[in-house]
Amino acid sequence: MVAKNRDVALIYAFGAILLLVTGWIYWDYYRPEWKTYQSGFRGLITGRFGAERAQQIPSGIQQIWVAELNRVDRCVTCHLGLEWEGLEDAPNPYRAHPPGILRKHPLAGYGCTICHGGQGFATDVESAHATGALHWEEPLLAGEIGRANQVEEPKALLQINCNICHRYDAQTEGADYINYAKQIVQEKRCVLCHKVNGQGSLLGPDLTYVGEQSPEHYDYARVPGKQSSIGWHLAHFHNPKDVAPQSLMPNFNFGPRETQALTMLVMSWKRTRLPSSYIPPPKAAPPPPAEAAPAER
Amino acid sequence: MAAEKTIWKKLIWTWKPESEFEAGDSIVRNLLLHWFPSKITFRSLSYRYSFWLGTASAILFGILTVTGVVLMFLYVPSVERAYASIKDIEFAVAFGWFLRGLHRIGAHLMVAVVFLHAVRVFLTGGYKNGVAANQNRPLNWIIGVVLLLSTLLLSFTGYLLPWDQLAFWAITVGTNIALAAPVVGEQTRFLLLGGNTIAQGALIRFYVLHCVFLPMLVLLLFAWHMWRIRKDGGLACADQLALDQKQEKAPPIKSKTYSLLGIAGTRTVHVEAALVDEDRHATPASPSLTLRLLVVILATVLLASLMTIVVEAPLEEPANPAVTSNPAKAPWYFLWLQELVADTTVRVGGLTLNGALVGGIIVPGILVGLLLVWPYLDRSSVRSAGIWFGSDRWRQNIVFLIIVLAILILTIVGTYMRGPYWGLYWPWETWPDLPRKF
Amino acid sequence: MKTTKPSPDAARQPHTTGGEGGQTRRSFLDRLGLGTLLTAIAGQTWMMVRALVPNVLYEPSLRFKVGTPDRFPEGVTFLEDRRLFIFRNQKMFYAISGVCTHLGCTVKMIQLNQPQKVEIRGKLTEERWEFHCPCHGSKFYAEGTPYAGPAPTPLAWYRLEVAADDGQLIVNLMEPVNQDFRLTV
Repeated sequence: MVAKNRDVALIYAFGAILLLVTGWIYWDYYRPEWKTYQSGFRGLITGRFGAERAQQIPSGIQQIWVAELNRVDRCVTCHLGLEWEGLEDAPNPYRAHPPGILRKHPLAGYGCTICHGGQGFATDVESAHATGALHWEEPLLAGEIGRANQVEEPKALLQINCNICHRYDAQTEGADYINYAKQIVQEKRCVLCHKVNGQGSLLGPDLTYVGEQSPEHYDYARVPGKQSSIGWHLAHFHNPKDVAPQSLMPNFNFGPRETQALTMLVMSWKRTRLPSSYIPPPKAAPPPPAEAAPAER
Repeated sequence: MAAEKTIWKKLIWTWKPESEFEAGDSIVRNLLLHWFPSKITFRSLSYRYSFWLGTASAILFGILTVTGVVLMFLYVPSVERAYASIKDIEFAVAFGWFLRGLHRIGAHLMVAVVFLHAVRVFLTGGYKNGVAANQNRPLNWIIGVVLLLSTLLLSFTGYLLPWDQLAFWAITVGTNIALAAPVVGEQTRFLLLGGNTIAQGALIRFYVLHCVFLPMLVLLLFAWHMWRIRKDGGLACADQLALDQKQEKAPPIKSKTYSLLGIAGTRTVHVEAALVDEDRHATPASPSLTLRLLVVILATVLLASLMTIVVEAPLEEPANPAVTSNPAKAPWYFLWLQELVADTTVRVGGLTLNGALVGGIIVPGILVGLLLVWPYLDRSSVRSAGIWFGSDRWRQNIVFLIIVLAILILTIVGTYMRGPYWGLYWPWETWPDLPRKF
Repeated sequence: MKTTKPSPDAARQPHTTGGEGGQTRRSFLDRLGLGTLLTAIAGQTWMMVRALVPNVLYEPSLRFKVGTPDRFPEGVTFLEDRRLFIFRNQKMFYAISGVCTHLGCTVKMIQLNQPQKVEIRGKLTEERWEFHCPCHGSKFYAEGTPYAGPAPTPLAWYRLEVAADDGQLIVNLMEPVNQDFRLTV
């Protein structure tokens, strides 16, 4: 009888703890981070445009699904003001996206992460921006990552992703760092030693897809600071012999701007599976690819 | 009695047995409980004898089935979609992280609990026949060993499904051990993976094994296991009671006016119950066993739920055959093997004996083989059945404990102390940062 | 065989641990305990049911751009993936759904050999085409009104808009409109 009573008491006690645990899980589910941002946005819109327009704001997890790119981006769950007129000066995450670039790259057809990086699946800030998160290789390309790797102009890093589609453009409007790098590639005649897109010599490594090399491929023994592919390239463009003493590559005495531009260019050289409709049509000059073409022939 | 009270009673407790006879009847007539005895000895009920580990592993199997069925609705077993569907479960599905976490923790717990259950049965000599007729506990031990192996396989096949780097390389390491097996190794791996590489063929095979074939096998073996326990007269500790009674030379068990099933004079269902003095040592299964069962169920569910909240379920980068994760580890319950594999490559003169053969095939093969035949080699007396550290089994118990300890130590070393490049790190040492893209 | 049932009274065990007050307290605690346990189990069960209600959908948006107006030739354009007929008459545009109102098959547009005069809701109109459903033989006049077969209601018309940013036509499947709707570009 005593044992029985003890078992009944244990059952009730475990039941109570289980209820608490279950309650916590529900509380956690109904109070996600993004709800705070959504109600903040509702407040902002009510303040600026009135309650009626605030009612148009969707609620719940929002996502842009781009089947062609096999991407789903839930950034718009918090970044609700991307296409709103009159929010150009709003604080983030509510600021409107510069409309000019969206005209050619509509949200519905591109999503966010194909250009900006970050983890589109995620629904919390830390996982979504993925700047500190382990196990996501493409962080949000913005200030934080730029500062961690000590680049000259952190915000320009985003242009790496422009060049995924615009690789074969001679010049891309708005991608000044990439354009500058392409110009340097022409001037310094990199193809005298390197092979890019099947052209050039094999004195140095073939660089066609150097951007997708695994980070562990590089030797960081002589690289100062954070161990990362981008850090290795930055140090290497600064002075190749600092990083690889046996390297044949001459020191071009690149400044920080040149270093960042070239690093960004080589980081963008990777294999991508893009539907042909995403590749911009060639402008005046047909292939061979811009960055591989010898300066004169 | 107020109508409100009757409704409440009707909802929660439809019927309360009025006598011991009815209590026994309620168990035997119940669809879910009919495979329980109608009376159970206090010793079998106690926590100290069995720790209820077998019951806990069955409950974990139940948790895994329920959460697994939900996850089957949400998961897509294709190379293109698998990883994304797990990400969706983590981030977008309501309570998805909890269900996945519970399934994962439940699987790990089940491996551990089934293993501990086997250790308990060995140390108590639970595989030994006692005094009742028609016992065949060695057979049940063998079924148990097969259940342990099936549990490992269930967990292993589930490990691949998230299709991330962790899964991909763990299965690579795990299946390559099979390659070292002489004669059949290569074919086994080829058949298991549906090819030579871990790709879509392997994913769908692992998925079907994990969701259909192995659970069915475990369910069948589990039914057999339980049926044999009943045929063997319950836990081996009941036989000890019967032996004690004989020694006491106490007045003979007073004759029963009714049997447990209302059928006097037969020993069809309750061979063992007649051997012990039921009035002194046993209690009706309803409510003693049912209540205790509920306690164990709730404790298991609670432990698994709490661990799910505390321990984050990892999901690494999507599987990339071109980049080996560093370190690449097999699931933790195979890490003692991986540790063996890493340490046992033997070179004698010009002859190299591959570590995978020694650590991956020979050692575990011998261990499993020994486990299977041990009940037939164990010649200790019947007084060592169903008792912790039986006096004339001390030698085998010590050897067994040393092997268990070795496995545990190797597992701990492999899990917590092996860092990048399989280097040895103390738990308090931080692993070097691995380079990243940005 | 000697089988006697013991009388229920003999084996019935008294269940009280006190007087009348003890019993009520006991039953209150029992209710509280059982209620808590059942609530916890219900909560756990509901989680699994709720997990099967999708929070996000992998479906095309219901409001989408279909290209600039000059992309559309005079007459009709059928958007196969969206099952939508877009009609153009000079500067006027309208859109009729190709989804049969009976059971959702895609209707086929049948061009008539010669224009035909039909009376629709008391109005005499001349039509050049009809919609016929391949599944159960429903037939619709040019503007979607059914005249034969099982289809209960006319084919849906949807709102067309011109996008403010790039001037593309936008179809809004969330907003059905009546048959007088015309978008003038």
